[in-house]
Amino acid sequence: MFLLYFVVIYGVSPLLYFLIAKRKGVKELKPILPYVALTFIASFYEFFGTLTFKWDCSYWFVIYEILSFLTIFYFFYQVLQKQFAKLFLTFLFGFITLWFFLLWNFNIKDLLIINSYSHTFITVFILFFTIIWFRKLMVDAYIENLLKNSTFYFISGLILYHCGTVFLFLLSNYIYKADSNLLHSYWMINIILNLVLRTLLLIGIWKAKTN
Amino acid sequence: MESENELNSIIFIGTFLMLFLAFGLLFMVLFYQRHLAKIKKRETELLLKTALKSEKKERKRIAKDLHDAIQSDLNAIRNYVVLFSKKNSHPDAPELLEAIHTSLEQTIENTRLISYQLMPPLLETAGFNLALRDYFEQLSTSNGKRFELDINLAETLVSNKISYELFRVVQELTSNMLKHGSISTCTARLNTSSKGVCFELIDNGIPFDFKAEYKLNKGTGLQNIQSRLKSISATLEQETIAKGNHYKIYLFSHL
Repeated sequence: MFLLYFVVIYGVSPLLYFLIAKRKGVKELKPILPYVALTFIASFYEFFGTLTFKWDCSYWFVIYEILSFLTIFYFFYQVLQKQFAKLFLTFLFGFITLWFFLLWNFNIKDLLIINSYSHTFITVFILFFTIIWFRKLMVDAYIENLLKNSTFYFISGLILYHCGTVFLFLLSNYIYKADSNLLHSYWMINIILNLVLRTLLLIGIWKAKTN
Repeated sequence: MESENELNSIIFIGTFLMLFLAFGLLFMVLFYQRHLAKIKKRETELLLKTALKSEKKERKRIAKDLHDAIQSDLNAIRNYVVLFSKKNSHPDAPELLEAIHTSLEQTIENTRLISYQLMPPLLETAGFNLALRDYFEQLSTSNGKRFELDINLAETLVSNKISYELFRVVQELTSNMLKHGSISTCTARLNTSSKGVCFELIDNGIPFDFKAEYKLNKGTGLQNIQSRLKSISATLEQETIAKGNHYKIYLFSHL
């Protein structure tokens, strides 16, 4: 439980650090800023809504999934310098179609099913554009040291979190139906990988500010 | 119970495999990118070396042309003027010819100086130590400042392979001292230390932080120094002294 509270509160640190630290590297951080802001809002909402006041957060999680895709979409679109517009449009169209399908076939009680589809789609999107970013990096070789590059940390965080949790989200409905307590145990994977993601976001912002 | 075990296996194996895939991708890219960056760095260094080499070749050619063609032509003209002045009887002619003679002498001297600066002849024939001594003597005479060599440079030899680049670095540093440093004395030392052959240049002028200015990309001269040092695998360090500057150039290739 301590880890859960810690990770939720920890989620505000990337944006706070961005705001507190010197106003350097703003241009470099522009692509990830919406995602960092979303993490900040999510932390607040989860801390007060879910953990403190025990509100029903189903709608929030649905909205979060959509906003999460849009912010990640914006991140990759900016990082890839608005190239591959057709591919981005295809994915955007795919995401909208998927959500029409989900809203048509399921209701808010099937939140875990909705999230499993959406999360898998976002994972495929991240994997696809990460490979494109890496390929572009190999062809252009314009970054001398990747470990000093903030975008590398953001991409690493996103890919590790989404790849690591894709199985959990895919099976979450099945696990919940089998034993709801079991889902709480497995949810530890999500919490740990969230910690990894938020740490990598923080490192990325720190790199951009100090480089 | 059995289905729970099955679920456990699916979740953990699936998560492990996906994380393995993600880590694998990240490490592969990191490794390959470093490899590419190394290749690119090597290519840039090679380009730099080639550029410096061709610059040296070109300087040599221009210096030779200036010396062989222009200077000998000017000498011939001077001789004609001298002969003409002896034979001409016009009352204004001697004065006019004297003026032509003076400007010709100046042109010859300037050509000699340019030729020397492009490629000091002593550097090739007598080596770095004597060329530097000659250069310092010239600087002392022409600028009225004290440029001196602290030790017997003949004891430490600088190979011809790097002497040209080192000489150019010294030229760049000394002209900076004269232009911006307001110096009155400058001392050069050459000795062998555990880090390699060390060339030191100490002045008593306005303090100048070489590394900080270089980082700020101030001046092509500083970049020129840095690229030349890089091409001969040398490093420049600066020591803090009470007044002036103390540069230390370590020539690792001489270890």
